[in-house]
Amino acid sequence: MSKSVETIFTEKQLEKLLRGIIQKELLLHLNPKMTDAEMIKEIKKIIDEKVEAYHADKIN
Amino acid sequence: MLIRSIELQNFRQYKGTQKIEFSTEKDKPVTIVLGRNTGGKTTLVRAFAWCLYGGSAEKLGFAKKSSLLNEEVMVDLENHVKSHRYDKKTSVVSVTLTIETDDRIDLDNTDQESETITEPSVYTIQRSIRYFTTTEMKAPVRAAEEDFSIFVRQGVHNQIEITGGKKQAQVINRLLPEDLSEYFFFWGEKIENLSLKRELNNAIIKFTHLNVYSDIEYHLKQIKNAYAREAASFSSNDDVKKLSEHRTALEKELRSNKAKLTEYKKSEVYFKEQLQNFDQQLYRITDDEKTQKEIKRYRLLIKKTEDSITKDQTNFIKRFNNPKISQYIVLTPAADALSSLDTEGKNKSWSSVTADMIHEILKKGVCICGKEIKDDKEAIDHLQEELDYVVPNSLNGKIGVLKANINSLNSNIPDTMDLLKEKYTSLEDNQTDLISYNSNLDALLQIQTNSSEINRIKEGHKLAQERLSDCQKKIGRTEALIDNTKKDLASCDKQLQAAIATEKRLAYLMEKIDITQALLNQVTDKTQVLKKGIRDELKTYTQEYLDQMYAGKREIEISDTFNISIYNMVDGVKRQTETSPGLETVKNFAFIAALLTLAQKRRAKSDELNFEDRYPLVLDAPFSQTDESHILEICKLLIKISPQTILVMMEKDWEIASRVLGAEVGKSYVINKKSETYSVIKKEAEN
Repeated sequence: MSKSVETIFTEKQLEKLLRGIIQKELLLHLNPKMTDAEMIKEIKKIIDEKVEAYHADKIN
Repeated sequence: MLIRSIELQNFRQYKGTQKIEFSTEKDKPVTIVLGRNTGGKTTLVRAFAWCLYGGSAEKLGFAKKSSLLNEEVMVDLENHVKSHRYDKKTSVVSVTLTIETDDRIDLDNTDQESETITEPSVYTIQRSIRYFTTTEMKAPVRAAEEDFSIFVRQGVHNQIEITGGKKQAQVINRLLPEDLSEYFFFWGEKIENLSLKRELNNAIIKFTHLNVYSDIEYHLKQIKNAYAREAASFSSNDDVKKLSEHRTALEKELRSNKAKLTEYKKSEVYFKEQLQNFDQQLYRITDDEKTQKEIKRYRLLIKKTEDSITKDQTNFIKRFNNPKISQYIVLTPAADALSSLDTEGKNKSWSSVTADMIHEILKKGVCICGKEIKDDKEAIDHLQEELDYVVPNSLNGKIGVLKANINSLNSNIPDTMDLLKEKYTSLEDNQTDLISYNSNLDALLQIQTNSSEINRIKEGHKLAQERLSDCQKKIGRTEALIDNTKKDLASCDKQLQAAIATEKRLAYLMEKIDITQALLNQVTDKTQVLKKGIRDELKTYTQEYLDQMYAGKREIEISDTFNISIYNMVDGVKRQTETSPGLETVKNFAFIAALLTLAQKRRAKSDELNFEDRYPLVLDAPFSQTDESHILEICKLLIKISPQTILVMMEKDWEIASRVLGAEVGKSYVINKKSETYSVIKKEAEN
């Protein structure tokens, strides 16, 4: 893991994040209406939220 | 997944619409379809593959250029054209599969967790081709584009259609990847050569849902690229360091200009004071000029007055030396005395009364009026007093002469005396003025400034004015510079704020890129680990099933790309062995069983992947190359591992298999071959 990632996440937290992404991917994958672009958007949202939440916590 | 039914419409020899409903019961998972050679057994199994994956008749194993449309129907269409009927006639060949899965799909898009969706999903998959007549005799019947549709329904939810080739392919891959379909839908003698045909890497990846990881990998790469593109879109003008340096320079410039302004303002005050000082001096110089004029004027006045005095004096002396003036001077006191005599005499005495007359009266004792005064003391005293005021008789004549002289002089002299008096007064006035003029001149001479001092002051004034003007110009310029620098600073601050926000955003993006990369690394590692685990498991299960079904001892090897090899162990050394068709069949069944077991086990322990653990086996004459003992072993295994088995076979093979599978049959059908181009499927009970 790079230093910036280590600052934000522990190995376990990163694994948990990946698990969340896998679950989401599976759920979306099963959804017949979901397109690739929408799936990318959803997964991007998870990463965005995690990083923003980390910085929000840091500020508080 | 379980296959609920297949419906054939004009598919090869299955003319019209014919439907088979398969057993999906857990305790009776076997459906048998019995038929003779060339009756349409293989066609039935190929219909499954065509429905799911499409393809030409040739790809399905039929004769090249043959049609999937029933020949009788085709002839009917051709006859329609041949009979010169020009109305368009159409016929459709189609296969419809109804498949039940454990997919937990949020069809209502309520974003609920998959665990909360309990209803199985039922897919209706249909592939069809419409054939239509033309007016061209060379090609009287033509096929339209292949039509493919997938509908999914979950419980009581509305049925929805899955559209778009990619999404449809995704659904099919999830149900059963085409690469792997040969293991579940196989016909004729194909089973012997299954694992030898090609690598199974992609098939196993799809089957074990590892493709989800490759999808995640793909999506994460896209996300990482999106972050990178966003990061790259930030212009270098937004560089915080550069802007900070620029700001520092502007601040320095502002401080410097402010300091200069303070100095200039101080200088301005100084020069203003200096100028004021010079102004005052200049004002005084102006006064000096007036003074000079005054001095000049006074000098002229003094000269004129002195001249006038000299002239007046000469005139006065000349006039004064006149003899009449001497007489006048001498006689004037006499005239005054005479006047006094006249005045006092007129007041105190009787005019024209002489002392002799008074003595006569006193002597007679009688007044001129006749009144007796001898005894009147008061009258006598009064007359005695009168004697003091009367002119003595000796002077009486001389006074008369004097009076006459004086009167004569007085009649000649008055004008001369007045003139003399006037001259004297003028002389006196001039003398007074001269004294005053001299006094004023002395005062003016005291305050006058010399010319070099005046020049110095004027030079100083000019210089001070120039310096003040210069200083004020500098103040103006510096204030303008300060204003501009302030504006630049404000603009720079704005840019800096934006740049800081951008930098923050950029920093976040870099973090996100790093995180995405870390996730990608994890996915890659995880995929490798999972793939290795799957290979190891597959090897274990395949070996296990081979051992159960095969009488001898053979070793299984599965390559990185899931290619299966079989070895003979000779003195602990692996030797690739030649295999018989029987051994190949057993090996491939062992592999199929291993795949199913893998799916079931992985689903049981997986908390991540929504494994489908139920796969039907659709087998066409599976045991034709297999001896009886192996048929029985395979059948035992099928009961153990397959949730649904559809056996399409000849009655002679079923006789053997039914010993093991007989009790497992839920539904059975028979294919009745009516002609080479027409077969009918009937439920056995109806037969």
